[in-house]
Amino acid sequence: MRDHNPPSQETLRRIGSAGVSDAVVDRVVSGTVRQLARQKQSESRLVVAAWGAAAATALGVGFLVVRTWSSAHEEVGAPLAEVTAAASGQELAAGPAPSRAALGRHRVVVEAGGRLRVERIDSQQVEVTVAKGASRFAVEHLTAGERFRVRAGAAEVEVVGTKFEVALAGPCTEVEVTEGRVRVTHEKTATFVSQGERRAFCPNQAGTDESSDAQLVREALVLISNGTQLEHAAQVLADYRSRHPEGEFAQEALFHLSVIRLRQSRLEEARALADEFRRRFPGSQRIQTLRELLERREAEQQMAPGR
Amino acid sequence: MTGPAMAAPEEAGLLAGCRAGDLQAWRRFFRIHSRQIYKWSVLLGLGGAEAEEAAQEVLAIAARRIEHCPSEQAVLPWLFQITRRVVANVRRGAWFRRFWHKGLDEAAAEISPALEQASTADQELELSVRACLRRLPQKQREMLILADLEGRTRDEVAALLDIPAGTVASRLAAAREAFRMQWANLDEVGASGGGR
Repeated sequence: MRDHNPPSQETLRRIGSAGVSDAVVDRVVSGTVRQLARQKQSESRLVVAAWGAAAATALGVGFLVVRTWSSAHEEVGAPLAEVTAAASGQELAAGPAPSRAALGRHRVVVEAGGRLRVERIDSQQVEVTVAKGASRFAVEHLTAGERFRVRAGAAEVEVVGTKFEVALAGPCTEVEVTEGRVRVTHEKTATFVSQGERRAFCPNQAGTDESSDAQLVREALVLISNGTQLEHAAQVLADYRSRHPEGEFAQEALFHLSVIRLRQSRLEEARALADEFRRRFPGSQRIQTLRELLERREAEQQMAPGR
Repeated sequence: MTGPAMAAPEEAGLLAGCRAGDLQAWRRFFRIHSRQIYKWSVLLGLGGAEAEEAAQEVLAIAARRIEHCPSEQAVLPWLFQITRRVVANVRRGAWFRRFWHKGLDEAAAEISPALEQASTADQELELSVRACLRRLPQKQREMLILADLEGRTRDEVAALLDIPAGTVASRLAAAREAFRMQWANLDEVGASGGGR
């Protein structure tokens, strides 16, 4: 039964100072973020409507870009009739202009001045060696048992249906993947190179020992702190990791590589690297830093227009 | 009487971060103030679910209009002013809905504890207090919430309501008297009866 006397000030104070559950706070915070994202989206829709003409122009530019891309694509993927069909033991050499060839149902462009040796080619296997310069490959989807391997210097690149370039650069082999993913085996260590990445694989000899690599890592950190050449810094760190998985700077390299991918908004890679960091360095305080940075970037993406 | 602080220590530099568009700062801002805004919304007359929506609306408005917040010390009064307007709009909307759907009276509105009270008795007390507050004019309701339920000082209440400190005492006395009368009549009008 309710007391007919009004509650005292102390009682009112007790009622008024009751807490609010964390679940409510979480719902309010996430709801606000969603609401702001929706508002931003609708604002951007209005902008799109108002700037229809600009969009049409952008489409035109986009068309030109696609045309440009297509012509580059055709360079590798030209019809068979236009290219030479390479055979086992043959060496493909390009003069001042690039040279195209078919490797079974796959394609290759040997860049100007480059040389490619076809070691073996049959229905199941293609094995080639980049003897000089650079070659670009367009590999069709491989069925079970099929293999496509490219050797260059000390590295061997194995393909899983993709477009990529392999180039000799001094003692190093550079691999750039424009579509799909390849596995590079270098000095008994397998590394995957994904779409959009360019990686250098250098022999572990004098001049490329850990101390000079450590110097490179330091330079990479300087680049990161300056906010410039992030991709270059990422490549240096990735190379260091592949050469010295347990090296002195392994933690440093993995952490900063994660941060770079975050700054580049490559969230999938950043998440994978952060997971690896958590597994390898469970006692590090940087785990929390990475977690916060990830959350922050995800929130930014959530609030970004067009989502 | 010592009331809750007008600016939490963790807010130092937060306003600047928010103004600079730092999303991490915004998330902290939302987290720091969501409890207080939700609680104000509940005490000003909304049910738990409505109060959550109102708190989101208040924070979204704050995010859009952060340039209008004069200083770090003024964040709380500024948020209170937004909250009272948002809550008034929600209550007005609810009144129109009741007007059009005559079968839906105030009793259909959510009347369940919305705060984490220490005991069942306090939960019942919360419902009674909220029912009485709902029947008071807005100015008296705000005065009681800030002065008696939150225990803020006269100066703090004056700052939050943007009125002279001298006005607080007289308005508070009137509010307490009105509350006392509502409390006495609560059983007659029913715990869910409500003015705007």
